[in-house]
Amino acid sequence: MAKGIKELRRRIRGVKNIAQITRAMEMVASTKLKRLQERAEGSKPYGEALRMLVGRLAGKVESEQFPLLRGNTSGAIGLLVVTGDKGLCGAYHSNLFKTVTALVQQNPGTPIKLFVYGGKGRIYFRGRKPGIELAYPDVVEKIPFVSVRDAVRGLVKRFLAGEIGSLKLVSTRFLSAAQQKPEVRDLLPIDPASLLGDPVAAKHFDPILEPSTEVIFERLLPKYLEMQVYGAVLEALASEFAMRRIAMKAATDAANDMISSLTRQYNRARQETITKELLEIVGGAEALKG
Amino acid sequence: MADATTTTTGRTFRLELISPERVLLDRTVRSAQVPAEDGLVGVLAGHAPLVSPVVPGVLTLVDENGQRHRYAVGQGFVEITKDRVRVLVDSAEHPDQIDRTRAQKAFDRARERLGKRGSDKDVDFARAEASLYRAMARLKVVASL
Repeated sequence: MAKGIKELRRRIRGVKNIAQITRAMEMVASTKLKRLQERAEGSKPYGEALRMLVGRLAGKVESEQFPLLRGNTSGAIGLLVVTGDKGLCGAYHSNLFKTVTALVQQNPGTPIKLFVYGGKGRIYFRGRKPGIELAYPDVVEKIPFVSVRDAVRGLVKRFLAGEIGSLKLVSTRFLSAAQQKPEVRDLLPIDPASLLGDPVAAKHFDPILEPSTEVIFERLLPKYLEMQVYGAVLEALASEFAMRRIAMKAATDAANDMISSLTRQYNRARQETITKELLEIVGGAEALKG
Repeated sequence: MADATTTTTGRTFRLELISPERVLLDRTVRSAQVPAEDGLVGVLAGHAPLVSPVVPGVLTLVDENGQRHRYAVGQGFVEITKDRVRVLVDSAEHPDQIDRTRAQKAFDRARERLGKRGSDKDVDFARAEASLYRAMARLKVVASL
C-alpha cells in the first residue's frame, strides 16, 4: 500500500509539472496571437490602397490582354499550402492536410504541384503522393513580406511559362478567435471580377499614367497576388496560434482535472493506510489485554 | 500646376509612405522626390495627378520646417492625387535602420553575380540587378547622414 501512495504522489507531481508547462505555452500563444493581429492590422493600409488602385485601373483596361487574367494550356494545378513549423496546435495541421488530400482526390489524373510553406508541411508531404515541387525554407512565424514576394514571383513565372495552368492557395482562415477553417482559394489565373474593376470610379480617376496604363496594371497584378498571399500567411499564423492557445488551455484543464482526481485517490489511499494501522494497533492492544 | 509656382515654398501636402508591414510615414511635407521608373519625380503641392511605378532608390522629403529626410525604398508605386501623395513600396528604411556593412556586402554580392552574366545560367540577373539597386539606395541613404 505504501508503495501505491508513493506512486500516486509521483504521478501528481508529474501532472502538475505538465500543467505548468501547458499553461505557460497557452500564455505564449496568446501573446503571439495578439502580436500577429497587430501585424495583420499593420498590413491593412497597404492592401487597401493597392486594392483601390487595382480596382480603378481595372475599369480602364481590356482584361483579356493580360496573361495573368487568362488561363493557359497547361493542365497542371499548382497548390500553395501554408502550414506551420510547430505542433501542439490541435487539429490545425491535420485539417489542412485533409483539405489538400481531398483536393488531390477530386482531381485524379491531373498533375498537381505542391508548393509548401512551413516545416510541418515539409515533413508530411515528403514521400506522399503528389510530392513536393518546392518547399520554402522560411520560418513561417518570422516571414517578411519580401520573402513572400519572391515566392509569388517564382510562382507567377511558372504560370507564365506554362508549367502550371492554375494556382490555388490552401490556408487556414481566421474566422474568429474560436473558429478557424482551412480554405481553398483561386490565385491564378486572376478572376477579373475579383479585381472589383469599377468603371464609374475609373472615369473620375484620370491621372497621368506613366509609362502607360497597361504597364502599370501589369506591374500591379503580381503585387496584388503577393499581398493576397502575405495576408493569407498572416491569417494562417493567427489561426495557428489561436488553435494552439485553445489546445493548450484544454490540456491545462485536463491536467487540472487529473490532479484533483489523483489527489482524491491519494487521500483515500492515505486514509486507508492510517485506518488499517489504527485497527492493527487497537487489535494488538485488545490481544494483549485478553 | 501653374498656380503653384508662385507660392510653392509655403504650401504643403500630405505624404504617405506605406509598406506591406506598416504605415511608415503619414505627414505634412513641403516637397518630395520619388524614384519613379522614368527618373526622379519631384513633387510640390498642387502636382498633377499621377500614377507611376517606383524603382528601388532614395525617397527624399522636406518637412514643414525645411528639414530634409531620406528613406531607402524598394519597388512599388506612387499615386499622386489632388491633396495627397501616396507611396506604396515593398520596403522602406530610415537611415537609422540600415546596417552599412550588410548593405555593402549585398552590393558586392550583387555586383559579383552580375559580373558572371552569360557564363552562369543559374544566376537570376533580374533579381541580382534589383538587389544591386536596393543596396545602392541603402548605401546612398546612409552616406547622407
